[in-house]
Amino acid sequence: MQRYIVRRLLSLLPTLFGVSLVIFVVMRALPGDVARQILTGGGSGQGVTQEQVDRLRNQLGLNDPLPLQYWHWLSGVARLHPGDSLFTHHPIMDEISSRLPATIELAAGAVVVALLIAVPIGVLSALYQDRSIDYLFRVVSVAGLSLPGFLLGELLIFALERYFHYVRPAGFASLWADPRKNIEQMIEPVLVLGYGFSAILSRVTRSAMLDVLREDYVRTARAKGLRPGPVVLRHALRNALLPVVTIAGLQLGALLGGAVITESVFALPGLGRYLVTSIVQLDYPVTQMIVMLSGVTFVLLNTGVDLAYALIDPRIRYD
Amino acid sequence: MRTSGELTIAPPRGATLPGLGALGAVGRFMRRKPLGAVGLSVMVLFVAIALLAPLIEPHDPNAGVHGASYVAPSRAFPLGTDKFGRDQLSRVLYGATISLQVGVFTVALGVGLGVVVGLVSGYFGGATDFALQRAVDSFQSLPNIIFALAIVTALGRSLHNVVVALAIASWPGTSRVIRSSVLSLKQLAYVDAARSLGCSDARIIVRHILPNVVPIAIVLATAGLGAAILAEASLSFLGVGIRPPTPSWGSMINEAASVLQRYPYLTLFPGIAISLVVFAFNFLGDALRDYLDPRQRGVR
Repeated sequence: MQRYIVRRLLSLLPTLFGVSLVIFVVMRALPGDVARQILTGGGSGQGVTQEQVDRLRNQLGLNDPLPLQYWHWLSGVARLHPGDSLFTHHPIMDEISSRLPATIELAAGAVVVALLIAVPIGVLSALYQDRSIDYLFRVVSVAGLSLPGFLLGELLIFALERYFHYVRPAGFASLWADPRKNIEQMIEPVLVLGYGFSAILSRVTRSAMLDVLREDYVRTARAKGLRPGPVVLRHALRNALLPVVTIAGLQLGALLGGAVITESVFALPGLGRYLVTSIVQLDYPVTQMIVMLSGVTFVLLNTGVDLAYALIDPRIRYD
Repeated sequence: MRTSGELTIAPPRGATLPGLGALGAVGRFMRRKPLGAVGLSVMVLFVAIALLAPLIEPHDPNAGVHGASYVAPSRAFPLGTDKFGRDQLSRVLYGATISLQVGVFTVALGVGLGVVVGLVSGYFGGATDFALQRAVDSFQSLPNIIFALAIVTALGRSLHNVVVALAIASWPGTSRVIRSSVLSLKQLAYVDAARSLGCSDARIIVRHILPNVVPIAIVLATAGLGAAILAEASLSFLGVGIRPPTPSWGSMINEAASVLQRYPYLTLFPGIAISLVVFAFNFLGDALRDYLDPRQRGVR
């Protein structure tokens, strides 16, 4: 077991290296001149002199050989000193850490909401497979995959204001400073993101339950006369939850993608919105750092889930 | 029918009327998978609108009618007009063209690349497989939308670059699925038979393995179309997708956000369009997956 853990942790290194390489190549080596874009506000580069472009390229270190640029960037990232924002000139890590709490709260809330929606829906769908309630729930979950988060958000804001005269309080309050205001601000985005997330989870729950319900031990439990409730909850669901929790963990990294949109719709000062801002402001060191962070989070979660799996499920042995 | 010696070679049954055979398959599919049938119908409608948009648009989608800003839905403008007096119906119709282009090109590129990598990785195994799979791991570690944002930033905003970005973000998923089915296909006896007959690797891959992964690729492509359309809408909503004034459904909703309470129809109609289309592709993808899954044959 210990050897497995060590091996799994060591295998993190090549993946993290790969992630950094992919990000670097995509953002630096693809055709497209960052300096020119910065000078023309995102345009194709008309109206600036070559001299201006060259000066900015020098300033940003873009004229160095690519491997050297990569090394400078990677060593900065690894030491958590990725430099300053081109736009505000504050250290990037300060900018990021001030926005992290909102995103973490949003993601955590969304996971809780998603599980609360997905598990009952998935279980009922499996128990009543191919009956009308199953069809209804499947439509509900495909809707969660299909309805764009930004549309749901806009419609929620619209409906609450139009029909209930409710407007979310403006300005962000942290959970510790003003819990009530914070919760009022977070509840809508958490619901929107959580519903989208629940779509994937309820499908996983349904198919895991369908598999487990056909297992011999479930038939045994029924045969010995247990009532349906305990059979479903204690024998089937407990085993079906394993893949659900796995997928939930894996998808947590992808939640940051959803957070980009939800935070933009609800004007939350989180990392996702900052990513979009940095892109619009052509603050590419910030963009690179946030993308790298999301990759690192994903890889770490992935490993964490794998390790947890080995600990939780006695059927799995790693040697 | 032709005779060579004592052997009589008959054309395979059903091959004489290939058109009817395909229609029959579609009919069977639609009867067995009602939700898939709904998806297929919406998809056909969507493609028809996208192709015919320039012919059926009542107005120029990009030219505003003077003095007609924020007209509520009426006979002259069935879906109303926006701030610049542009006809929303024409813009929603033209948006279908944009969405279809993004969807088709992204999937062609993304699924194409994914299939090639999956075939090579699964068939050759060993060091090739290891290296390719580590690349897949690295790409998959980035949420699609964030990855696409990064790429569009580097390349600049345009329809073409959005397609490239979404394709680069989407191929790893396809290659994973294809690889795992190649791993089991290459163990089968007919592949050994082909090899013992002296077929080259390239021939075995193209003639013997590829045809068997095509159904999987079709399912992935169908779901991928919906995902690509959704992703483009999201990028355009964030203001980093296709440049205005080109009407993308996402950017229409973005532009309408500031006047949501006063002119909700500006959000509603493009919103319905995206949701319907993505819904349809997801239903169709699900139904196709169940229908083509050999384990579910005969199961309704």
